[in-house]
Amino acid sequence: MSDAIVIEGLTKYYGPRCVVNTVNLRVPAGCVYGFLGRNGAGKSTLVKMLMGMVQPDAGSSKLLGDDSSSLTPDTRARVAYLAEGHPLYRWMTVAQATRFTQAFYAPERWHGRFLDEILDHFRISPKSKMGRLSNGQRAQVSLALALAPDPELLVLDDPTLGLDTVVRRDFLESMIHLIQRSGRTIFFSSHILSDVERVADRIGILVDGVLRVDCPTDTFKAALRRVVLEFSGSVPRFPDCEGLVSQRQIGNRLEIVVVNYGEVHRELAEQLGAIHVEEVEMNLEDAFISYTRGETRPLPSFDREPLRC
Amino acid sequence: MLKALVWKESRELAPLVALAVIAELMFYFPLNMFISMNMNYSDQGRIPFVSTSLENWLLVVGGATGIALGFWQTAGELSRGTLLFLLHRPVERTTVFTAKLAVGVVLTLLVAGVPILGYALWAATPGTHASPFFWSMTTATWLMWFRLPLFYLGAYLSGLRPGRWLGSRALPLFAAPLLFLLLFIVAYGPLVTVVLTLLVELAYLVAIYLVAQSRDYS
Amino acid sequence: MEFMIQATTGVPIYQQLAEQICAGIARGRLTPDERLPSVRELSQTLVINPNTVARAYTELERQGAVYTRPGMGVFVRSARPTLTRQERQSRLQDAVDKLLIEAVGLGCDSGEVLELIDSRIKQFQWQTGSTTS
Repeated sequence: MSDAIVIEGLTKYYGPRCVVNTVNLRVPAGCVYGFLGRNGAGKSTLVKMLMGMVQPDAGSSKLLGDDSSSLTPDTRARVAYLAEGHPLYRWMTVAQATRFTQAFYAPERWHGRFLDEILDHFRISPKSKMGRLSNGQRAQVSLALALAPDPELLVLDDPTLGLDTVVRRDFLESMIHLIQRSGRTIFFSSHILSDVERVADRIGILVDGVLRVDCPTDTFKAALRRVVLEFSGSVPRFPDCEGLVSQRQIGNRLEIVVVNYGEVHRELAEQLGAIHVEEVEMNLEDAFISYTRGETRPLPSFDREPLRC
Repeated sequence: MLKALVWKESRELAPLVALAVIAELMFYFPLNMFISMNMNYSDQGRIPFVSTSLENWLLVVGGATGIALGFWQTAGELSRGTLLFLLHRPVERTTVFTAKLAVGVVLTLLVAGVPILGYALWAATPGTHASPFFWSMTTATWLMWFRLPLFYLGAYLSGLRPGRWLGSRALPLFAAPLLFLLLFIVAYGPLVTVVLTLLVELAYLVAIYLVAQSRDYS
Repeated sequence: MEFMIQATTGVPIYQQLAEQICAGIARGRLTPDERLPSVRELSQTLVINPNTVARAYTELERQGAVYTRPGMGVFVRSARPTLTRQERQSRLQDAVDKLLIEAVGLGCDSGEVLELIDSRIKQFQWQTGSTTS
């Protein structure tokens, strides 16, 4: 078996809104896959469908060859899942949570020493109550608990959400540590590009439920382009297409961020009636701030109509 | 792991059970006791299981506790997100829910059952009160007690049911007291009541398992 | 030698790393036959995916800047015999032209530029003869 995760045509509607739209994706075994999307892009819903917590409206997915909607306990034992926000029982102490979790796994699978080492590294006392831990400590405990049964596949749902910069760094360090240990497959979602770029082998970007980008991390930045289209009249929307990450209207210009800008995009720009098309230098920070902020309404332009005295 | 699940559910519900016990004791410490300083307020001179209200109070507390437990185990855990952690444990989903339901039903029955039994034993002890006592006098109370899990299951199903509109979500809970009364009216003898109660509870359980398997945990 | 990864530039991480190692060799902060940190160490200190480090090393090896001794690690290569004198000069010419355009634009005179180049030359590690420790 070469693919740890196989997703085929996965689709989910919440009411009339399509949250995840016909996503196809394969994550080969041993790959670290970074799944980028802003909050509300459908990341979490997709991850929950992978884990069999949410039933898809169409399509299917497989974890380690086992169908997501009916994962057997055996498969669940081989897969670690960190839900968003690291939910843990706040009334339990760390030691109680460990004992509770351990009860579900075969003794030979459970690496208690490793767990103790992580807790020790982050100076987390087994006697402390979960509810008293900081967000960062809780994230580390939940990662440690997920790793103790030695999983083959890890699915992490935005594990650094709500962590401050320093703690986020600690968490990333733990993830790097984890990648080095063995050829585990890791699928993690995030809303921060730089985290994904540091940790992932492959990057996928979900925009409004559609998987727009799926490429190796190395080529991702080189393939990313910011293109400015200038219009004489009103500014149209750029049609949804492969590689389109975000678009933003500024005055009579339309700024788009595209991966693998090519013939297809050029033709689309021409069809829209752009009078001037220019590829501009990419400031990743800017591009992704606008991306993570979401599609903004066009700024009012003051210079379009001449003043009449 | 069943042991762990049962431990976790019981520990989680312990504070609610403690509150229920306090509520039960409240019967002996009503507010007017402090006002009138009348230490002889309680049911002295009344006949246990015939004209006292203690057993009814215990049943009311039992029903209320059942509702609290049912919601705590479902809506409570859903809102805190911990259900995602729990449901990813490598056991069948039905096992997780069965452990929850078993602990909930048992605790609901114990909260009311233990004091009722204590009260009955006290009443059965000669010389404790000046009124006749036969065990058959407790039958009606025990039948009521046996129907208490209806409140728990109603709250459980309401807490688990996805639904935007509160009214449709709360339907199983609102149906519980109606069924409770209906089973009270149907007076074909204790056995029929017991069998009917079990059937209704079974229907609730089936609905709970169906919802548990099919709903989205988002 | 310390490395720095900048997340916000458009340059891929592996390329940033490779460029910094090249610069380190050129400035003499990395000496020939010096062992570079292992993939493991570097990925841990920089908090980046080990594959990214490996990619940077492969890239450098392809360019001839480093060599691998199996089981021992990655080492700095002493010379770059792969390019002819003519090839080297044609590659440099573009960079020099760019510098000169900038200098003219800033209003420098040629003496000033030569002086600057002369002082900067001392900061780097040269292959043969003219080294300044």
